[in-house]
Amino acid sequence: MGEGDADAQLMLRYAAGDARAFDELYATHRGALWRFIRRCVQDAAATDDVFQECWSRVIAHRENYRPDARFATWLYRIAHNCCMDHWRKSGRRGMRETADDEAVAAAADDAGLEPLAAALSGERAERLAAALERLPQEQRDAFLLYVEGGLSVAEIAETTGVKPETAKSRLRYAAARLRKSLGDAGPD
Amino acid sequence: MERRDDEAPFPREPWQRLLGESADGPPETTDARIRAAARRDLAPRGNRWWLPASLAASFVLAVMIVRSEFGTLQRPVRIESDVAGDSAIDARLIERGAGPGAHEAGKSPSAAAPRAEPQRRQAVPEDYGYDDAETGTEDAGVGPRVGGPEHELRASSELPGEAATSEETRTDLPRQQEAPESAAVAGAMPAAAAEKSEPAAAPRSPETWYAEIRKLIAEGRRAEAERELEALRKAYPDWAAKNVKAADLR
Repeated sequence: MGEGDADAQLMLRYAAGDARAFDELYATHRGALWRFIRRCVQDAAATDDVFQECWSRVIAHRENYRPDARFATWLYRIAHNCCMDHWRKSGRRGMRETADDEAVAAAADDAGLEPLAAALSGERAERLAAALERLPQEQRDAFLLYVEGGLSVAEIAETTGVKPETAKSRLRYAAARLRKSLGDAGPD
Repeated sequence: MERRDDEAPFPREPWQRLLGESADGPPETTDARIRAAARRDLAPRGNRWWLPASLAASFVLAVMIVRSEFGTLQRPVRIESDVAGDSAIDARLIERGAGPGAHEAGKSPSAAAPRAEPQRRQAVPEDYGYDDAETGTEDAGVGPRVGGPEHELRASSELPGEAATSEETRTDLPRQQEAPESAAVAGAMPAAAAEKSEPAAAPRSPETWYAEIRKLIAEGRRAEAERELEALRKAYPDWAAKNVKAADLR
C-alpha cells in the first residue's frame, strides 16, 4: 500500500466518522496545499479564504470520495477548482498569463542578483516565487500541481482537463522559464 | 491509480525543497477553524432525528387543522339573515317552480306556502343545537328581519316585476308563519305534516262525541254519523257497549 492509498484510507475513515483521521490528513497536506493556493491566487488575503473553502468542500463531499483515485489528486482537483472560482469571482485571471520568455528573463534580471549570490537558498526561493508569479497561469498550475501536489502528468492532465501531452508540455515550459529566472542557481 | 513518474519531465524534489523554504503555512486560527468544521460536520449526524420528527409533527398539525376546518364547513353555519331569509326563499321557490300548478289549482302563493313548511322545519335552529337567543330569531319577528347580503344580492338581481312579487311574498311572511294551523284545517297540508306540526287536539269526551253523532243523525247526515260512531266505538269500546243504543240512532 503506497502513500496515496494511506491518504485514501484516512479519508474513508473520516467519512465513516473518525475525526482524528481528518487531523492526520490535514497535517499531511496543509503546507503543500497552502503553498499551492498561495501561488495560484497570488493574493495573501484571498489565500486563506480559498484554502478554507477547499477544505470545506473536502469535508462536505467526504461521502462522495471514492478511492479509485489518489487522495492527493482529488484534493488538488478541488483546490484547482477553488482557485478557478476565485479568479472568476474576482474577474481576472493570472496577472501575467500572457507573459513571455523575455518578460520572465527580465524579471529575473531585475532582481539584480548574481548567480553566486543567488546560491543562498533564501534568495533563490524569493526569486523562484517572483518567477512563479510571472508564469502563465496554466503553466504555473501544472508546475504547482506537479511539485506541491505530487501529481503525475496524467493526474495533472485529468485535473486541469487537458491531454497528458499538453500537461507535460506546460510542465517543461514552466521548468525552463523558472530555471532561466534562477540562472545558474537552479534548484538542482 | 498508479503514479507514472517514469514520464516525469524533471525531478520534483529540488523544486519542492526550494518552494518549501520560501512559502509560509496557514495561520493557526485557520488550522483550528478547519479542524473544528471537520468535527462539527460529523457531530450532528446522530442528532438528526428531529428532522423527520418535526416533519411528521407538521404533517399531523396540518391534517388536524384541515379536518377541523372541514368539520365546520360540513356543519351548516346559519347566520341571522339565512334563518330569516328561508321563508322568503321557500316562498319564491314555490312561486316560481310550483307557481303555475298552484295557480291552476286556484291557490294563492300564500296558500301554497304550507307545502314548503315541512322543508323549512327541517332547518329549524333547534336541529343544530341553537336556540332563538343565539340566532336572534323569533317567530313573530321574522318578517322585518329579512335582509343581509343575500337579500341585497337578490334585490339587485331581480327584475322590477319580480321585486314586486317578492315584496308581496315578504309581507306575507308573518302570515305564513302563522298559517300552518289554518292551512291544515283547510286540508292543504298533508295529514302527516299536519299531525306533526299541529298540537294534539284535546280528546273529546264520549258523551260529547255521542251527542254530536246524535245531532248529525238528527240533521240527516247519516253516513257521517256512522263514520263518527265507528270511530267512537274504536276509541271508547267499553263506553260505547254500555251507552250506545240502537234506538238513539234511528
